[in-house]
Order: sequence, then C-alpha cells, then structure tokens
Amino acid sequence: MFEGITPAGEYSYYVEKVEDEYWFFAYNDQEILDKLNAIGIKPSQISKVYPAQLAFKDIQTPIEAGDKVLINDNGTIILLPKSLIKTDTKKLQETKLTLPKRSLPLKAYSSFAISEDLIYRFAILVFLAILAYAVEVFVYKKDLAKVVATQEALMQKYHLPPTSIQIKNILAFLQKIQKEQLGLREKLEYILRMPLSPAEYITSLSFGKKITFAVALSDPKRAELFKRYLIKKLHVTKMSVKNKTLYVECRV
Amino acid sequence: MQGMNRINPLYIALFLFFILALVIYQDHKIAKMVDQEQQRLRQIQDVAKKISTLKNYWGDKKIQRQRVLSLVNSPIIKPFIKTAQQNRDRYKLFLHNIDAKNADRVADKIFNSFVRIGSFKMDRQSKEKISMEVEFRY
Repeated sequence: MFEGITPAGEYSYYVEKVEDEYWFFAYNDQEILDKLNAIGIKPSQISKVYPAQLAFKDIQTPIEAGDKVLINDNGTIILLPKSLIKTDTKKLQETKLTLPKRSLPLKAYSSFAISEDLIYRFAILVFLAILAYAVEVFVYKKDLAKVVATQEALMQKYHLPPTSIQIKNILAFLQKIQKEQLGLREKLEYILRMPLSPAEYITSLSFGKKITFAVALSDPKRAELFKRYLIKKLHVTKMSVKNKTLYVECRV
Repeated sequence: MQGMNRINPLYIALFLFFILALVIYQDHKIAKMVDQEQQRLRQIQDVAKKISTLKNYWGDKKIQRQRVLSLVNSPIIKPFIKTAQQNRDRYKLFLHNIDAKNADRVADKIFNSFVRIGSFKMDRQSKEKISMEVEFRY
C-alpha cells in the first residue's frame, strides 16, 4: 500500500478505524526514537506514542509546535512553518487533546526485539509465578514447623537427648548390653548342650569376667572330643584334665 | 508523554525475574530442609522405638528391679533361696539344695528372663544337690 510513497527504511504498520474509514499508518520506529533522542528524550521516558493525525484530528485552531504550526486541512494534519500561518494559533499546552484509545506499538526497545506489551505480559507471568512459589514456600514453612514439632514431641515422649550423637551413644550403650547378655546366654546354652554321656556331668560352672567350668568325664580320652566341640563357638584359653575331670577356661 | 521519568519496563521485568529466581531458590532450599527434617523424623522414630524396646529389656532400672524381685519370688526359685544380698544397683542371690531336675528349671527361668546377669556360678554340693550364685545388675 505504501510502496513508492515512503522513503527507504524499515517500517511498522498500524490501522485505526475512524468513524466509517480505516486509516493506515506506516512509521519508522527507529526514526521516531532518533528524533526523540535528538531532543533529549530517552525511550524509558516515553509512555505512549500517538500519530499526530489521530491525536489532533479534531483541532480547529492551528497549534504551535515550536517554530512550526499544526493545522487541520480538511481532516489532514499538516505541519507547516509558523511564518506561513497568519491566523490565530493556540499553544500546545492550551489545547485539550482527546488521545486515541490505542497508541502506536512502538518498538522502543528494539535491541531486544520484543515489544513493551510483551514485556508487560512476561512481567505479569513472572509475577504470578512469584506468587505461586511464595505460596509454596509458605506451605513448606508450615510443613517444616509441623515436622520439627513432631520431632520435639517424639523426643520428649521417649526422653531422648537433643543431639544425635547423644542419642547414638544411648543406643550403642543399650545395644552393647543386649549383645553381652544374649552372648552370655548363647555361650551358656552351648556349654550345657555338650555331648555328655549318661555317666558324665558338669561339676561346676562360673560366668563372670571369664567362663570356667569342669566336667566329670567317663574317660579322659573324651576330652579331645569336647575340645573340638567347644572351640567351634567359644574362645578357649585353658583346658586340662585331672583325675578324670576336664577343666576349661574361656573368654567371655 | 509526561514530564516524569518512566521506569523502563524491561528493568521491571528483570527485577521481577530476579525476585522469581530468589523465590525459586528459597522454595528449593526450604523443600530440601523439609525433606531432611522428614528424614530425620523417620530416623528419630526408628531410633526411639529401638531405644524404647532396649530400655524396656535392659535399660530401665525400675523394670529390672521388678523383674528380679518377680524372679526371686517365683515358686520355681523361692524354695531354694539360701540368702540374698542387695544394694542400690545389684542383687546377689544364693540358691542351694537344688536337685538336677529343678536346676534346669531354675537356670531356664533365670536365663530366659530379660534381667541383666553380672555373674553366675553353679557348683555341685553333692552327687544329688546343686548350689547356684547369681548376680543381677540394675
């Protein structure tokens, strides 16, 4: 549509319905920014940009714009040198403008190749994500407090000390007692299950720092049989036979 | 165009993105903490049960004392008591004139109970009779 009319350059296009007509605009984003920059306005200072054709379409009196004047010539807004206008003019500040609903989607931040709207949409999404994560953090904090409270209640119930080292020490102490006591019983049972003949019997048995016991033998030669039996499960430190009696000493 | 300085929306987006990164970091950190504490809770539950059981078996002095007294007063053991000595954390029992059949029952009774045995001694008094010495610890 604009081919051959507009000078060479990269253009953006914009359409606005005005009453029964459609107005088409071609504009060079970079040129607008450059011009604004030339008069000391940074892109970050720009809120919205409107085509003069739309912003000033209802003006009746020419409006001063620096050393130029904007006039409405049968619906077309034209910028002319001030010297050409002889009629009364109004200052821009005195003019009450009715700005169009939509502004030009100016690629103000073209280096990022994304529009301002897109940035705002992205920001809204990010904000919603922040909210969602914040809610999750809040829920986690509640969960954490609940778990810690359960731990404390459990420690109180079982009278556990505060540090895990102390808890481990208690457990190790109790496990040591259990090991000693069950070991003692196991060894005693093993001794009492010695393959004695009907004529043989245990004459004494003592458990303390060491285990000692004596067995009345029917034949001293059977001591060897008992030795083989006992060393399978006991740590025998001494063994002797006197007067048909076997004397054994073991470690606990 | 207003006179005031507008903040570059990109800066706002970047700031929000930074906040999001911070919140995600916090979220992961606290999620990890919850996981660790839940794991610790399971460990405490496990250890507490073990300690409670072991204490009940061997560690609780009051329960140990009750069990020893119950043993001493049981009809299997009581008839053979010669004497007993006790102090704050030990109970020493002297049994005598036990016949071979009852000796097994007495030994079974003692060694099948959850009592802490410090020492045990068994001697033949005669061909028929046996004596025993048992030291219980609380």
